Amino acid sequence: MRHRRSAAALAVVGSVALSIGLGTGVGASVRPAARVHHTTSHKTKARYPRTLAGSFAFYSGGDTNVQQLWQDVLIPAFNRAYPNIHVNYVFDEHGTNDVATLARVAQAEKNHAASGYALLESATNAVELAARQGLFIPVTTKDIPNSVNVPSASMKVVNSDAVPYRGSKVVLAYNSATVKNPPKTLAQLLTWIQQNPGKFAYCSPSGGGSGSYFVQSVLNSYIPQSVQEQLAFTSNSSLESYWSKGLAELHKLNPDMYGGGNYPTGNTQVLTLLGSGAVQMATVWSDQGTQALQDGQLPKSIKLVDLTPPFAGSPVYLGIPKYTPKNQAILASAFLNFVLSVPQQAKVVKRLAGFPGIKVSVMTKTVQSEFGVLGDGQSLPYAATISSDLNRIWQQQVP
Amino acid sequence: MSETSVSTEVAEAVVGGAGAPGAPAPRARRSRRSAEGGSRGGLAGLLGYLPVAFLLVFGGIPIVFSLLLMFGHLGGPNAAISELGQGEIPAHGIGTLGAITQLFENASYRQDIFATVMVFVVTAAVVLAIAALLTFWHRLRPSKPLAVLQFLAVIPLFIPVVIASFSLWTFWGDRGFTNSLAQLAGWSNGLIFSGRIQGVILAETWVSLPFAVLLLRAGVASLGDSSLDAGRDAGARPFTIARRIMLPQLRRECTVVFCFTAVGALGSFTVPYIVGPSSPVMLGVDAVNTYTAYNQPQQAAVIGFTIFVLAALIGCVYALGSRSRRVGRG
Amino acid sequence: MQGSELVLEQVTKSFSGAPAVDAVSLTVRPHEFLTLLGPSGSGKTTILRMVGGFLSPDTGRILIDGVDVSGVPVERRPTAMLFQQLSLWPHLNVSRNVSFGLELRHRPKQEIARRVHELLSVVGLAELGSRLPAQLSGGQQQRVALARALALEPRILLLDEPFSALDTKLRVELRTFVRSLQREVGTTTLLVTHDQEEALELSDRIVVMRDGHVEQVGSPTDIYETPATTFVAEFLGAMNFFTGAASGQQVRLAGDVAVPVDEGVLAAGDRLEMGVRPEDVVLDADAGLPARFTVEEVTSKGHFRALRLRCGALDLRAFVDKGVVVAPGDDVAVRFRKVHLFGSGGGGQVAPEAAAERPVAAPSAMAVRGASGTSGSGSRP
Repeated sequence: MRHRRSAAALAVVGSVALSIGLGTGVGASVRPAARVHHTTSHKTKARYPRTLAGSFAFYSGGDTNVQQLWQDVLIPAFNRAYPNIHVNYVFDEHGTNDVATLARVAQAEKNHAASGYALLESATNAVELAARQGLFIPVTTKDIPNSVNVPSASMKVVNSDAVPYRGSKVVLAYNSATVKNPPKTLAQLLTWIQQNPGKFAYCSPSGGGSGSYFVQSVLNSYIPQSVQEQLAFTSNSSLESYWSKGLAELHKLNPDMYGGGNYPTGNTQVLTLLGSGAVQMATVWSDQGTQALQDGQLPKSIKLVDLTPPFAGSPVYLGIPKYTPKNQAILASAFLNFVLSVPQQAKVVKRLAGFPGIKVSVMTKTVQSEFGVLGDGQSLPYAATISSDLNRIWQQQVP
Repeated sequence: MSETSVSTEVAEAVVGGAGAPGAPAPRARRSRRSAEGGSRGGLAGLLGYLPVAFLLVFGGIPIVFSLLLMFGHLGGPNAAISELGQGEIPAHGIGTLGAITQLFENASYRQDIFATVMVFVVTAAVVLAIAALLTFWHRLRPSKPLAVLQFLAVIPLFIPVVIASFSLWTFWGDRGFTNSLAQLAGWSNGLIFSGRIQGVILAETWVSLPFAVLLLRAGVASLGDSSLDAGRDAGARPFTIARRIMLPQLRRECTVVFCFTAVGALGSFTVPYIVGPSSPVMLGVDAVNTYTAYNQPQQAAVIGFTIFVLAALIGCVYALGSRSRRVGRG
Repeated sequence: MQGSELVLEQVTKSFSGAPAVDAVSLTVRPHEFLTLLGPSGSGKTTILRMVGGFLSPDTGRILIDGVDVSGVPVERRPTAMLFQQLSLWPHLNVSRNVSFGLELRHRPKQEIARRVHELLSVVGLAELGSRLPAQLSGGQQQRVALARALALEPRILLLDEPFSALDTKLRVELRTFVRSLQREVGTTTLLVTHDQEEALELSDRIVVMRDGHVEQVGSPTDIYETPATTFVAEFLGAMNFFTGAASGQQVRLAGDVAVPVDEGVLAAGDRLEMGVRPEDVVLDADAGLPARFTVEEVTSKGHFRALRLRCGALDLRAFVDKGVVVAPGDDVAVRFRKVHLFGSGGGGQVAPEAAAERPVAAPSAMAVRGASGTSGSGSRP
């Protein structure tokens, strides 16, 4: 998810594959099946009994740090709590099979059959897209009581058909040794950029989400809230005409950018510039920034902060496919509920230097302090096709 | 995943273009030979067709599909790819030039083409000049420092391009070695190449030099001592010998170095992507961005085709330059 | 054309510590055709390349017409070289090959054209000016190379085994041509070769080289007739060698074979090497001579016959007139028309021999002693 560029491309692949698999009129047939599940889970109330037994398959696309998180941390912890549940963990490095796997889920859904997986996570936003297509069982606080702590915006993106268990968002990184009064809002940031030419960098939107979300924030500052939401939830490209003012503003900023409008190619280069002192401020992914601070790649003087309103973020979702056999769906729900518990979320945060799926505010004080001034809030990123258009139009109009 | 598939497509276009004027001849010859073998040798003969079939299936057919996509035929084999893409211009009848005109009417695309041509022409010329200087000079006046330089020039061969590009980007950045040196000399921000088209040329040169040096070194070694001694004996200074005796005899090698460097630079992605400026970008970067980041496969096909045409032009230079009237050597 | 004098003064050159040319002094007279003859590794090519400027001497001087050219680079030396390998530039046609040096000197076009035509006529290739080198035979290529070398009107012409890449017939043809051409134009010429026949045929004088130093300098006749050392004798022409001891007016060879020599040449007891050229061996019908040689082999060489004779352990090669009738198994007596005596170990010649036939006498006992020293018994063709 961090590398929004490839994620975006895969997302589109995903949507096509899914729509091919689904044919038409998918949305309508979803709910009844889900309701069946509701009635079963109703009895379980908040907690699942320790005696639950059986096994289910969990597809997970991601980098090896994700694999280690599941295999070394979360699944062993789950097995201590539920010794009779076997999680059949299927890992796919870099999520190269995300699209194919979700196409299989879509095909199964079309045939009202089980897909073979009771739980899915993707390295790209394939699961998010599948959720929007209605391929998953809706998440409720009855089935998964701990989902009550998940920020509502994250749930809204996927129509509550999947649940985020971790995430990352774009934040402002600045060098506290030289910048004493960091900007609090986007307007202050833009002013700072103009007053300190060459000291701010964001990567080109094609190359990384950390640049893309900065651009989206600038564009959104000229766009009514309702249109912003449409850009996030629909593929209505006619709304792109709202961008003209924001793009003009960005173009005007060119000479004040690092290298006089020399946009780093990707997220990594931005961190390099920040670390070398070439720039004093930049937009970075929160998890990459945190990781770089821990590794010493960034000096301790670099601080990560949210603006008000914050930049967009990308949660990583887990979903339970529709038509998953009832007993397996219960096991998967038990697992999901476990993963969303505060202690397990703390492990996620620690292990991946990421955001929890649940609100930071419900985390323990120690975990909260890890985030410093970073808050819960994050804006909604543009939908995939809109985001692709933004990449192209930015390239044509800004540098 | 999708990024991989587009870069193969670009690469195919490039390879096809470069090979077009030069390669078909031997290939045709080979297939004729294998045809004879087939009538005699059965299975062995059929095996001869495998490479051809391989090329057709993995090279030829995708290129045809790509051409169809470019002209707006979004159905059939292109259905999947176009359904996922956006901004398509569909064909009515035999095809549309819509995607082509759309791109070429765009000033930034024309700048990208110009920048690409400039990069590959200058890179090829610089690489040829450096490689020729190193190898010719060492042939005429062998010396330790030159031998060391030649050795150093080959090292980039063993460094992955991604790592090299990133290092060069850092090295030539405003906090990099070159600029720090310039600043020490009191020349503020005088030596920054990262994010500039000059940086792309430098990095492409760095990446292409090993092949050029190796090839010319072999070529230069094949020249007889007495041929060069006779030149000195006739009163020619080293530069004259290089220009009038060595260069004409190594015209084919020099053409190969020039054209291969040019084609390499033309189709490159990693170097301009990491080292190059945000705008203009080289066509290889443009193609990948258009496919993955802009999600416009049809327009990406047009860019691929542009690269193909440029590669074909380089191929013409190759055909002209290697058409040798030299009979004495080899 | 000019005939210049070339002088080498104490020229020394080492390659990685090993001396290739060791303090060689030499004078090549104006118009002279001088040959450096020697086996490979004798330093002859090194000398030639130093004269041409391709190598510079470690010590010593090279003077052309009294001017030290040791520091003058190749391209400015008044020398021209004809190389061993075919060295024409393959991308230039014959005329352009010849005119190359003239063009570098910015001579007027017409002059260049005239000169090229003249030179190609001299080497007999006036018609082939537009051909590329690859379209010529090896011999023609060397003629063009010769024309190219002469185009610059060198004061010294250097020939580096120029005939060795050619087949026998062409080689003979070309060297005859080179000799007559050199006589005609008169350019001082230095030839390097290991081919004694070539040296004898072409040279005014020959310098025999060995291990980086000069073994003997002289006219072909001098060197052939009076070789200074066994090395020279062996290198030029064939010679039978015998180890012997002086005994009065005789040299006693192995097995008590005795050869009478001139009075006063020998001191009693001297150990020495005696050399006899095969053509100086005369078969003698005189049955009174004590030493009898058995004919072991008869080989016809066309205009003469080569015989292998044996007397005990003494092997003797003889070249005799084709009219002499002998057959293997025949017993013959021999006379030596001329013998060469060298100090023991093959050093200087003890006595340059006058032509006087020497019967070979042998007392009764035929005990045979094996040959020793640098020049063993037998002969080298």
